[in-house]
Amino acid sequence: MIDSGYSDISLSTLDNEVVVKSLVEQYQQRIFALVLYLNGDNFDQAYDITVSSFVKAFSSGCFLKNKSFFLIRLIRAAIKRSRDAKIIPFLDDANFADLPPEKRNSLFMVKKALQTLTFKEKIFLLLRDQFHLCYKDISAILKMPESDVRVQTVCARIHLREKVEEVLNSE
Amino acid sequence: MNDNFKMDCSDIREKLKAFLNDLLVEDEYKLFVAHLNVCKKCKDYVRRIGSISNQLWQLGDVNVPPDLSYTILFRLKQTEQENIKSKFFISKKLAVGIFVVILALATLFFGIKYHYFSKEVDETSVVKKITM
Repeated sequence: MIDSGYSDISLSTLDNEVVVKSLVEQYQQRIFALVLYLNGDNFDQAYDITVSSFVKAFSSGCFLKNKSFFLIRLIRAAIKRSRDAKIIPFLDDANFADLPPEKRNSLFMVKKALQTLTFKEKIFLLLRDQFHLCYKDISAILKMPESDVRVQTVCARIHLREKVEEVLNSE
Repeated sequence: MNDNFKMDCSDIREKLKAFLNDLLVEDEYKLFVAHLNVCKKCKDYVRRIGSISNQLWQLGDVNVPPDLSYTILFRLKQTEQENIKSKFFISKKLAVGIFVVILALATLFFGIKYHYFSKEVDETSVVKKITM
């Protein structure tokens, strides 16, 4: 969910180091995860895209009007860069090493199924179910009507469920 | 967000089914997520329920490289310094441009003045010659 704030931030990002740091801390994991699942399993590529998206979001507006405006810019930049990047298939479940085997398997299955979806479907699902953005914010990010976003998200979720069943049946 | 509109733990349990099926209205959804962001107990409770949406949520718990925030801040500072340099370069160029324009205008002004002045001198010398 996007909450507003930081309405009186002045021009330079360097002058607002504390605010910049807190925004980076707040969103770095979610942006990194978003980019990672949009592009596959390439950590180095996700790292670069995350860094450049933050730089773009901070510098493109020159100043930060509020958190909501910043987050929309940040996600837009991350999606744009991910779209141009090379998709690499998921290789292992190393990310879930700490989880019990049963949980790890089910998450890996969802991860594998997610990989088979189109880029657009992944965007809808990740923004709604991983980022927990409201439909209004997603429609602002993707510049499309809210009703379309709702429909596409539901369709993508149904498609993912089918793909998970396919993965389950194939094993 | 106003405290009066916050959800408590019992609201979370009540609205869990609607949340999992993505049937909450937008305001309720915002309040629901806001509560999960501050209440670990409810977050764990909701995430224990096995739904596709919850599994996608859990996939988001990736290990972020420890130096990611440092790199972002470093790159930001670098970009800012580059911007300052390019601004200085542009202002230097602008100053040179203004100087050239002033020089051209001054040349034009004095050129015109000299042209008319020399014409006037010629005319007075002719008049002088005639009167003599």
